[in-house]
Amino acid sequence: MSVDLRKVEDFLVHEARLLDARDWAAWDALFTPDGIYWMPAAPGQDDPLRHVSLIYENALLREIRIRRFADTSAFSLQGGPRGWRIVANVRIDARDAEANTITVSSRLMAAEYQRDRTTRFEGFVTHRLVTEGDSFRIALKRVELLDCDAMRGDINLYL
Amino acid sequence: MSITTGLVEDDRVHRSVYTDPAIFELEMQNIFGATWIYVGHESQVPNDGDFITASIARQPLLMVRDKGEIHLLYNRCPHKGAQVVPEGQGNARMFRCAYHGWIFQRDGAVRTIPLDDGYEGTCIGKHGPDASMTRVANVASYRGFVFACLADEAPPFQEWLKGVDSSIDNMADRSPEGELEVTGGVLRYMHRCNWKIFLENLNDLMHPMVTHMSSSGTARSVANRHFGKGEKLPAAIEILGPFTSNYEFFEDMGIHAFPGGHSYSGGTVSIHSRYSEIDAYNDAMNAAYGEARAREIFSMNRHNTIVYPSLTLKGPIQTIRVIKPIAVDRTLVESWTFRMKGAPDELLERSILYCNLINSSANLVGPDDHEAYQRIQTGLMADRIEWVNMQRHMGKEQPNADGGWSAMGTSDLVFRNQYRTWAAYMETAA
Ligand code: FES
Ligand SMILES: [Fe+2]
Repeated sequence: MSVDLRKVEDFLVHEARLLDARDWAAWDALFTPDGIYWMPAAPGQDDPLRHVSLIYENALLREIRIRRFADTSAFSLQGGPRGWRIVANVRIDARDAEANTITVSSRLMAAEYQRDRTTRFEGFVTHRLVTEGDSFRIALKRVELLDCDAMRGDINLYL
Repeated sequence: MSITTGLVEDDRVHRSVYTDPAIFELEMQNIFGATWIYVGHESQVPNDGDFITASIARQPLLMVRDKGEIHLLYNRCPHKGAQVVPEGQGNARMFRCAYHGWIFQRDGAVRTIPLDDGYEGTCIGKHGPDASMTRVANVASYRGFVFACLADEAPPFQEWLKGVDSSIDNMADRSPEGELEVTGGVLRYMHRCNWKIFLENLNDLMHPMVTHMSSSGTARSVANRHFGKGEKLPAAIEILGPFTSNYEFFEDMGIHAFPGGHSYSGGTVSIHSRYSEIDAYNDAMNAAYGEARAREIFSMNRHNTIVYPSLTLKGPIQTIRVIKPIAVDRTLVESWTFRMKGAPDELLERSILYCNLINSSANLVGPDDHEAYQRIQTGLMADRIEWVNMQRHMGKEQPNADGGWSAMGTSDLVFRNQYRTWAAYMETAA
């Protein structure tokens, strides 16, 4: 299986821009049916079930969160958090031809702004991508913040 | 007379108890420095030499196990004051200060001081007591939960814990072996509010159906789209759904307050009582206790228990939240999960899921609570409106044989009881 790095980069930037645009539904559609979005709470965390995470979400939980984004009674989202993401240092770390998947690592810089407060995030990101025709589906997106085990305030958006 | 005299009445408190930095500093002395404060769980230091750093009222502490015993030391070098062990946990044979290399045994006693003949004839010389790390005056443990009191004179521990000791018992008894073990990491959520606002919210049963509609209500409607009536729901839905139970449900849950400011809500029913049965767990409990006793343990299902002022726990889901005041408008809340020894992993996984969904700063439930706390902290800056009302269901509480009081779930009884205790602590000269 030969996958072009450029195509992978395009896909990650496309994904980041959907998030920037708060097009949550289109973003969610990038996942495989059992795809997972994960933000661990400890560096190197490999167990999402027996160790707490900041976020560990399957399709059902993403659907709840995405509906909540549009809910006017989501009080902590009033005053509209907005954010942007920069994706860099993209590399294909592993290829599994049989499963038709690749593992991609990248670095993320992002910021969230709400009501006079900007919160900045830096992280290591791993995508497990399933190749699908000319493009990809996300089987796993794991965002390990540089300070994932620090004490912190709210994170309101997907990063 | 104290700076807090006149700020607490039977049915209201003055706004400054949440906003005045001088009152906050006095609280650190008169409450956090004067009564029992949770510092950690024995299971965090299972073996000799295991240590964790801890804190009470911003003061650095070190909890160590040595020869089977738990020692609690001020994490402060007796020489020039450096923190001896940096924040974290580990195992050590002894502790060496990073500054001038004084070395301490695990019980804090000094072992060596470089060039110690330079101290001859002083209180450090050939190792007088001033050369050792200082031990915390009072330490007590209940079912593995370790509490400390920094003051020389501590309230009698068992007496102080009365009323909520049963919540700790129930959490531990839910383990087939009767023992709990901290596991699964910690979530440390910094709140931009006074610590008492967080504490009050835990037994404020008038808020969930409003504050959590966007998460819990949405979880219910999403579940309705995907699952038929009577179909087994995913654990996440079982956890999120009950937050928006109706007022009647929360009213019927009931609420209980005790001397010392302690309280719990729920009794036989709570937002945790409708979780799916896990057969292998029930079997283990029946085998360990016999069916009748196991049923009795499960029949207690409390919502939040507050061991005033700093430990809050949820027995049925094996999580605690520890409240650490940082400043008048900053409060660190640590969420810990427990494995019940002898129970299948599924139970731990449910506790973890609960913490992720409810207590994580990146999740769906906690941030809406936090939003309410911040709005209180902001709203209370309106200084023409001096008092905060706590009159709901006033006078309808019933005294109990156990020395506490009970009321319907949405009563402000718990708040009134907390401030009665608060005022008593604050009036006492430290
Ligand atoms: S401050 Fe610790 S040895 Fe000097
Ligand atoms: Fe809440």
